[in-house]
Amino acid sequence: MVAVSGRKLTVIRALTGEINMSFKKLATAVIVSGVAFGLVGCTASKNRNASNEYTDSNGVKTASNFYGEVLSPEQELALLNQKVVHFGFNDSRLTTQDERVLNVHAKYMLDHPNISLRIKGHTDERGGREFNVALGERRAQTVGRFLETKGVPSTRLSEVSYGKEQPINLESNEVAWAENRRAELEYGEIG
Amino acid sequence: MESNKLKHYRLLLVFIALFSTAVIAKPLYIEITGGQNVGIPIAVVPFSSVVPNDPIDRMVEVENIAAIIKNDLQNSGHFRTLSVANDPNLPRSSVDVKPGFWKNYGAENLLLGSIIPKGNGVYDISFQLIDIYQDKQPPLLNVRFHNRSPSQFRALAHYISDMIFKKLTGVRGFFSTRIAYITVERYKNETVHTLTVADADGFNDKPVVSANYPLMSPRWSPDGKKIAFVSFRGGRSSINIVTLETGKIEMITRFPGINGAPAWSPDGRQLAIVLSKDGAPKLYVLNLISRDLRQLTNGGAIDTEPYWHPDGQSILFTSNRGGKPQIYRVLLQTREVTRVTFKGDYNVTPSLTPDGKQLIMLHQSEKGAYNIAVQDLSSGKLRIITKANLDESPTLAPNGMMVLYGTRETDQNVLGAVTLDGKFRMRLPVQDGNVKEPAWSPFLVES
Repeated sequence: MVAVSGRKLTVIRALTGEINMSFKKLATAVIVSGVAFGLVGCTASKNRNASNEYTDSNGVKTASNFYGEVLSPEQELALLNQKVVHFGFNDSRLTTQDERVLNVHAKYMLDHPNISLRIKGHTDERGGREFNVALGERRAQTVGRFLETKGVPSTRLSEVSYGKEQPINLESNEVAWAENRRAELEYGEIG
Repeated sequence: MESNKLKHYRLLLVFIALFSTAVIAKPLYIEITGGQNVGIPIAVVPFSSVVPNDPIDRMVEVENIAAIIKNDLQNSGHFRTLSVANDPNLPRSSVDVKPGFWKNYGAENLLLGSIIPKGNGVYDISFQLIDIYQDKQPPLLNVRFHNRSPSQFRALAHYISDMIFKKLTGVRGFFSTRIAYITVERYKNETVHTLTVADADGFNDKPVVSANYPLMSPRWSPDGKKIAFVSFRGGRSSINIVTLETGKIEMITRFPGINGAPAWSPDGRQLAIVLSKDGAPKLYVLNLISRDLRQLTNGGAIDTEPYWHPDGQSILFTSNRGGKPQIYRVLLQTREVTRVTFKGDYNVTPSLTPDGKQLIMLHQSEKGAYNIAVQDLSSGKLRIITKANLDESPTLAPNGMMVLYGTRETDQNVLGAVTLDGKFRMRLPVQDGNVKEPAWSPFLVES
């Protein structure tokens, strides 16, 4: 091959320290939420009496429970373990099932004031990349605003959109697209 | 042996990826997929050397100048290059040319050249461009470059291609320009994103920034010395500028929410960007010298993908303010917004030809495919120029004659290239990986 002339471009090292730190943070978040899941059953049962009346943090009994439906601790845990909600094509509306999931997360956040939540919006691979970033943010914001209506302070919520840059299903078909149109919930510690 | 080598290469890649110091760029391969037989016929004769006993490696270089020019012209989509085998009886200068032979061969133009050793490892390179049908006239081009070293041959070959292109089409060639693109390599535990810069023909690829988080939206500064891009370092988006000469990265904005879609003003002093710090994504203009930030659009809709009109007075952008994403235009002085596209339900990613007369965009066709389309701004007429199902990220050559874009194949993301008339097309994959988001540089070399 012909020897090459022209400007040499310097190679940049990706900043290892920063990356590792973010992975550490992620690991901490996973451990923290893992521990929390272990406790969530008993936390929930503490706050609830036999007749399914809900007691808020001030000890005031309310007529209906937080979720608008009766959930067993097991059901509650199952919903809390679900940390992804999905969306329709070009859509950022929540389904009733998504709202059930997010209700449990809202309750969990209210019960754990030191927990913060990062909401990551994603789209499928169709269309323009930057427009998809905007769509993904709509999805993350929809989740965030829903949690706020349930009383979660906005200061404990943050949103980021990756658009179509981080697919979880790498195939190119309707099933993959449906899986990739999502918002992910990532717990962390405040501070 | 070969597979062994490949294995080592892979191991090296994994090693590098793990320690986040990726230095491997992925070269692009070019494959013509349509329209080989269109364009001006030209025969490119292998360049001769006047020294009969050149070492073999010199011969390789001697032949390569002609091969690089032939490849440039063929891949421009505006030439049909005719193969000429190396033969001692080939003409060495215009006086040796027998027009009848070349007419029968189907050529209209003939390129002859020679490489003359001057000692101390430098050479004179001369070439002649001859119109076969005007053989009594002096050559169209008759040029000699003095004292060039072999390391300059490739750049010189592109420069000669530019001269030939200009002479025969009247338009400036893009052979001395460069392209940026982002490769994505997925490993078991992480995904490596690399912003890479290469010559317009895919050679000389060099990694510029490599990360295990997404990199997006590379855009060349008008002087070709910097690239603005979006990074998701630390799980947040930011707009950054990398200086190619030094590799230095400067973070420009990192507000909460979206920091995206950077676009340089034609004078390089301002950057149009998209921020969602106050809710919906909106256009802003950042003065790179004073750092003054000015909001350009308002409202609750998505506004994104700014593209400066070549006159610097207005910006095209994508917005869903009418319900579906369409292209709009905002005047910088008055902030008055007008709608530009009306055909179809999905028109995004605007750019303009250098004369400002044609709009290039990503358009969803009636069949539902996402294709690159060209809209004539005076007539409103729209032409779809690509054919796959999921095309995106069009970027225009600085002479406005070819579009490079990203496209999805079954197993990978590759680049495609197509002339603005849609007649000539190429496919540009990288080996064992994904490549996306091409960005064509401005003109880099004086012509």
